[in-house]
Amino acid sequence: MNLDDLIAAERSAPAEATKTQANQVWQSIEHSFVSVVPAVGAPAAAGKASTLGKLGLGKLSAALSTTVGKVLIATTLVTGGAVGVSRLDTGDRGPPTAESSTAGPENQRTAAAAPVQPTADTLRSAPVPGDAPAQPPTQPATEPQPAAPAPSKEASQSQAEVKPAKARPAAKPKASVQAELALIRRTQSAVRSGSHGRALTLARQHATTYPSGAFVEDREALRALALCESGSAKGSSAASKFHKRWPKSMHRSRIEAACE
Amino acid sequence: MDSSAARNGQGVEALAAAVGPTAPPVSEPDRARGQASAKRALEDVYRQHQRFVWRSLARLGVADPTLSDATHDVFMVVARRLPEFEARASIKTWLFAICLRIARSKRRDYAREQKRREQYGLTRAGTHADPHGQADAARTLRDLLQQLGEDKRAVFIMAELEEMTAPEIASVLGIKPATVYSRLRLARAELERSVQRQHARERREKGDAR
Repeated sequence: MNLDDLIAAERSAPAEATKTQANQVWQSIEHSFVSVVPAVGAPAAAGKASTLGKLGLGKLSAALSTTVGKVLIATTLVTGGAVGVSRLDTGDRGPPTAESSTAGPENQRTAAAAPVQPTADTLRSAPVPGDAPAQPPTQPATEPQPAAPAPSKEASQSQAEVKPAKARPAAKPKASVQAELALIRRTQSAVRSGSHGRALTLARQHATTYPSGAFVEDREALRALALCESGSAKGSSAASKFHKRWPKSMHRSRIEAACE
Repeated sequence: MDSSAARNGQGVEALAAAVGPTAPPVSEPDRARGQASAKRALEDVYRQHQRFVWRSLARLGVADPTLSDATHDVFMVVARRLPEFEARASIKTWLFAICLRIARSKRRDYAREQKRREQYGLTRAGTHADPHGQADAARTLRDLLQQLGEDKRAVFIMAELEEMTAPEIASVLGIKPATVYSRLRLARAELERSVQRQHARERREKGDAR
């Protein structure tokens, strides 16, 4: 075969995603989009996005992560007047302490859900088991707020209300735990399939949505695994932070194997 | 931007309108409508161009196991960067430019991962069962493309496989049309040599087998 034959072959039989793959990718995009979409409407988003092209993928992921956190805050600030209470996470998003109309359809499910604490059994039955110590809000959720787009007087007022709300102890509705578990499962399967970028996006999404959720330890374990397996320089520091925080974790040996 | 985006189909236009910097995020109903509209439009773009993105990433050297991940990343960039889209050429060339960046990053990640796997003896060499079959011939070309430098490879893919025009390619890569022709000529010559070398190797292997 000469070069023209090879070109003709590639034109007629290019690499193609299977229908399942295409649908899975779309679901993953759709899920990430729900978190990211407020950013695209915010005035600062365009400027922030302009830096993305110059960044590597790791940096892109980091940029998305911080933006998601800021955007959630910004969304709350923008609509804070109507909401009245400015807790960032509502509904599915981890421990709900207040209602909010800022989030998507997922977040409107839990207002009536009965609070329930996940038992050791429910956690053990999860594919990524482990007890779940409470975790302080992670980076995206605690991103310094001045960076959030379009701050206004009203926004600053709402911003002031955000801080005390974060510290409140909260109950976990059933729906929230199930949704959280589903998100962890997706993260886990992304790690398994070697889709590290997607795994990191999902882990960040979890950190934003469930800053002190039931599966924080699992999320951090998956994040460390994804970073290490992708060869990221941040892998070893994520692993050592994990070991420091959960020295007796059941994920320890797997992380050690991946990050050595 | 609005007028130029309009040239690129309804989906892109709606997405641009929904996410553009001019869209005022004033009220919650407006925001919700904007989000829904942006999502629908992104879905349109995805449905129309997912295959193009996938095959472009494969041709640019993204390994099979990471193609889903890379496609996801491309469309996340699309969702976020549409306000910057000026539609100087077409949405395909814009998408290709995003693919180039994502592919570069994915190749780096994959190379690191492969290195790690080699240390543990986990790597499996890929073989093409029938190098003269249509699918394997296509794969052979994709393998050969990886021997080209990135600049030449991008020009070759856009010109020979996607049949884009020289001005379109020039706009994606920020080079002159004359440079496009020159890189295309060099890419073809290099690939011709690679094909000849491969034939020679196959002949030798057949001779050895006898």
